Amino acid sequence: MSITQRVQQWATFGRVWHVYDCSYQNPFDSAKVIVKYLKGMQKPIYHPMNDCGDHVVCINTKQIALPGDEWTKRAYFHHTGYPSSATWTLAWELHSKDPMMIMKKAIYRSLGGNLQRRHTMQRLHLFKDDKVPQEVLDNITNQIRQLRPVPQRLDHIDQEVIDNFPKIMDYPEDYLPKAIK
Amino acid sequence: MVFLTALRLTRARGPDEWWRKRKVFKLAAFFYGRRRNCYSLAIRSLHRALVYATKSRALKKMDLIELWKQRISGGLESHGLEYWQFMDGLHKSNIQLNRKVLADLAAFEPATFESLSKIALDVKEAENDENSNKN
Amino acid sequence: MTLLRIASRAVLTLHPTISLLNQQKANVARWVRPTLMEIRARKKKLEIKNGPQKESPRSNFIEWNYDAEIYAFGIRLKEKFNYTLLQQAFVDRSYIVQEEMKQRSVGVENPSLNLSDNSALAKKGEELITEFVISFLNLSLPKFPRDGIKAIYRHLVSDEVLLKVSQSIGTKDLILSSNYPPMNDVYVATLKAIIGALFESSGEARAYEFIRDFICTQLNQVDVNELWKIENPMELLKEICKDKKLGEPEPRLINNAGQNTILAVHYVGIYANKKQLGTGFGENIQIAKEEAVKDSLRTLFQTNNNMKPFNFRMPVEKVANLLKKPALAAASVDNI
Repeated sequence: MSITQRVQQWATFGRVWHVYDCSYQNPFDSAKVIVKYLKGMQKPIYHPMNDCGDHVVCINTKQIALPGDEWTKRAYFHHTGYPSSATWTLAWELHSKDPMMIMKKAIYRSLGGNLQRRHTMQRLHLFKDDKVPQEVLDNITNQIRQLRPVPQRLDHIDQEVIDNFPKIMDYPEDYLPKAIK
Repeated sequence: MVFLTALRLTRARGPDEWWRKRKVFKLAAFFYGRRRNCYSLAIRSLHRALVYATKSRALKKMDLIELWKQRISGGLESHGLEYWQFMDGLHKSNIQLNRKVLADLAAFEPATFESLSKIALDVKEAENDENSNKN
Repeated sequence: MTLLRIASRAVLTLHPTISLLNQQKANVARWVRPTLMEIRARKKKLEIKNGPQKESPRSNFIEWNYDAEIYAFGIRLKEKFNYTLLQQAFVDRSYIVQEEMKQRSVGVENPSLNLSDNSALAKKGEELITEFVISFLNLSLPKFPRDGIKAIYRHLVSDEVLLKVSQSIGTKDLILSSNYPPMNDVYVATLKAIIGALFESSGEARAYEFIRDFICTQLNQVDVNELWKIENPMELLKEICKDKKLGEPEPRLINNAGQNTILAVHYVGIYANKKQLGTGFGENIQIAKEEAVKDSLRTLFQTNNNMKPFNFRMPVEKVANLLKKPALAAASVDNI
């Protein structure tokens, strides 16, 4: 094999590092997209036995958005193996314990079951915020498009813009908003 | 019965069955354990193996079609098209390449594949224009 | 041994079923298996006793007809040979020496064989190969530098390639040489002599067609860039860019992936006057740069991966015309 051919092979099977910003994204929908990159299904050389998957760096996993009332209704089951040690942790509870766990489990689940799953998971790098080590950051050369736009938050908008925003009425000074339960 | 010569005592045993068994052993050569050496076990496993082989001929085709679909969609990833749009566009442009060839083109002839995807994209855009004119 | 061979042949001819075990006749007689086993055992016994059996020349068998074989050789290749010349092409010097020695040992004072060896024909054949191959390459790869053409030529006329050609057209049993199987250089000389003999018998055009069809075609599926090792590609590229006034070539990193990992890939492009000449991949930037330079050179030489395949049906008159221009022909042949 000549150097040219070897290098062609090297480039074909080179692993690209992608970054995915999880803020305000549905983890279960995002997982389907991320899995595609982890398995290398976006490449025309894909084969289930072909080790051509890429790396994906997920940042801001703390900012994920679960749909509907999933935060309070979704339960994560765990069993240590000892009798009566089954636990059901609610999503909000799990997220407060480990902000990366929901994302991780979503991706692990959508990878489907086979012997490659745990090896493929090694190519997933999760970070709860945007503080990514420099050596990981250097590897990244591609960004996966977010599934939906990040909404703008009222408290992130400048006070000046809010003040100048056209209004049809002002609340009376003695108005008390209804308390949130 | 009285045999007058010793020759008659020998029994005519017909053809040599060794060659018949040899055919089976040749096919069973890669089986595990005694299944490759003992005829009665070998023939049993061989029959099962041949049944599997027959069934798999159809399954293999299905597997490959699935793989080609996956590869074509993989190749289309960077051209902004989906599999069904691409195939639909090619079909309407009377390009009769099959999935196997398209998958090969996606991997080995990316430039050709890109021009094919452009053709499909043109078809799609023309259709969109038509629809908007109707409305 | 011969007896044994005849016996086993008899068995095989008697029972065609043995070669077609899996099909047709279901029944094989009971005596076949023990007989085959016995033959095999005896063969093995002989081999243990005398060592591995030497390959016996086909001409040692009774029904060998040398004249018919020589005639058939020409017919197989669809060429018209002069019989004497073709026979001469198969005679190696070592065979004549051997035969003379034999005659002397019997007591012949002045041994004469009425045979001449193939060296003169081989020389003529070699000349024909050189001029045709060089012109063919010049026509096929007009942008390829002279040194490169020389390298490809050297590959084509190397012993390995000619040996393969010679063996593939079935010269093995026809060659008259002191050794059997013949030595490699005898194969090569015979091939050249056959071309020389063809030139003498059927003319230049047929000889050229023979060279085109059997020797030039060895370039099929071969990457010509691999045949020419460029010492310093960057220097060469700079020179070429200077000659063609393309501007100074400079490498630029286009893309990379996983640069802190052991699977790092770097993608480098070579640009001259902001125009891309070529690109290359590599495990590190150095290799990627070298590959990019090589790719640029390939593009300039028009020998890239997507180059037009060689035209092995090129009319030989076209090549011969190039040879007739004396200046070109001299330049192409002398430099080798």
